[in-house]
Amino acid sequence: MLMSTLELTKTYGDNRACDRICLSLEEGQVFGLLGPNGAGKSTLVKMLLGLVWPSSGQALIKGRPVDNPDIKKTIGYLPELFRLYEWLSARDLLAFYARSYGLAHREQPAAIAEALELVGLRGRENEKIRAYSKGMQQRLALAGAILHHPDLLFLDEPTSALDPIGRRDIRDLISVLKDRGTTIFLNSHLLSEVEMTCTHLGFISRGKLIAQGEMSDFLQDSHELSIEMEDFDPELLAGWNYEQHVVELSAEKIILTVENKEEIPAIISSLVHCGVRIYRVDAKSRGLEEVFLDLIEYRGETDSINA
Amino acid sequence: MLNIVRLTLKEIMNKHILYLGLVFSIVFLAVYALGLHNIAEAQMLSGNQFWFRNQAGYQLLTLGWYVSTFLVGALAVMMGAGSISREIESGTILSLASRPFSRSDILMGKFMAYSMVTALYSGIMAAAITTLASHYFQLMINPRAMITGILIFMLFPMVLLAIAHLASVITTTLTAGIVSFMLFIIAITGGFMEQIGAVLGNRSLVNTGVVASLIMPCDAIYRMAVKKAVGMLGTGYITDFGPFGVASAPSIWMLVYALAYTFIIIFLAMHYFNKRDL
Repeated sequence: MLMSTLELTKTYGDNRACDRICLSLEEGQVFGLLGPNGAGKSTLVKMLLGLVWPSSGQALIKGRPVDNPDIKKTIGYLPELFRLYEWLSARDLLAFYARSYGLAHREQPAAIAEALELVGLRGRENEKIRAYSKGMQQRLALAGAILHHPDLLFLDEPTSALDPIGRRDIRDLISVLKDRGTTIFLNSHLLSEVEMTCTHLGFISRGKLIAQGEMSDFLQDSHELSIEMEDFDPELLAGWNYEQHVVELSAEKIILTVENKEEIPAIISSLVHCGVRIYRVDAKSRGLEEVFLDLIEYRGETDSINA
Repeated sequence: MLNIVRLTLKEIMNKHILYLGLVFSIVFLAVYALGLHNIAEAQMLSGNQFWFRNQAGYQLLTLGWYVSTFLVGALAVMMGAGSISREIESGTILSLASRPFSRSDILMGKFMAYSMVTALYSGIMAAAITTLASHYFQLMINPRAMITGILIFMLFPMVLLAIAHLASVITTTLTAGIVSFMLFIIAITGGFMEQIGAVLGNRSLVNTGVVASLIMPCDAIYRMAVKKAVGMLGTGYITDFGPFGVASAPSIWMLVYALAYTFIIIFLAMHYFNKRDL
């Protein structure tokens, strides 16, 4: 296991920013942490990086405390507030980072060139950072996070200052890093971004980790079934087994949510058995947004679940 | 830690305020030199003897050192007060503290870089003032004594920097600057009281000064440095120089106290920085 937390808790007075969070990441995963504003995402990420101290519990990376300088050499971090030393040139900043990671002097130029190439800033390295746009600064901050080929990369809102092209570039970069075997911890508000890049998900609400598991589990387990009918009489469904799944019901249409797609044939069969005349059936897996809203709005206050 | 020292030195070199400070320091030295020149010339014309010339020379030298404590103090407070807090306020600390540095390395690296710059500045200012005074008044300066005095004077900003770093770890840049500067003013005022008390023979004034030196020992460092710098010969001329003189000289234990004070304050700064959330 690359990273694990055990009952990780952070309290500020009476407020529990993170509440007994147990989380684990295996090597090679791209883990997306989702939650509404103020849910405790940034506090959790900061605790995993040794920037905020937990009130109780512990976080381990490779079995060692996260604030250990040797462990920090294997981590990359792009903060949400990516403020850089604007009086330095991009090259000088990356050289400073390279030295801090212990890269040999002769290795530094190649590492810097590669990182700049990956974030699309090659050729701009001699300019002062203060001359960079916000988006370029975010790209540079990302170059600083991947310069040393970290085993574990924390990306906190990595596309917040980027335009759509920049966002696509970052998604492509995440794919490249994933192929290299880098484990990525992605904290993002953009659900589409998470859906496209992550292999695993965690949902956090009010400081509690309410669900975690593989992306495919979350998306497969939840389907929206739309059935078109004609002159439907609701009395036909008296005592129907699947009544509790109904979201919308009219004379022409019935919409249901089903947790498992294997239930769909049985639902259709039971409707036919009840005498309903079916003209069209449309089953689609629900997107991450629906899963997110469902989890946060309806399950945020219940016990945590595992997908 | 050396990486942090290097980065901080580079940052200092990129600050316009450093060059502005250097320009004003040169202006100060030019004004001081002009004043010394005119006073020395007036004394020559009036035919003052050796004793009067030496008295004016040593007292003007002491006055020059005294004024330079304000320049050095202001520089140390300005640099130290934002050392950590400015990084926290701007958010750059997140990138820095997540790299393979311990927080103690970050704090000590910055403290060392600022100490090097301010100590160098103090040494250059003290040496320049001494050279000018001894040139215009033909003072017999013992080089060894002078170097000892200058080396002690170079410790002066370190005490202030330590306090400024502690405040910078605990609070905002503005508050850290105000707190550090107020402590500096308390030390200066205490030093005033102590010297005036010594001249007047008023024990309670002297004790007030000693207490102020225990709270912030930078003024005591200045008094000890200037006493060492002027040597045995010069001490006689500056003893009665009121608040600027050394009528009440601090003991060697005050120097030991100042060093221990600096270490303890920096240790406390590290302790609080290691504990705080970023």
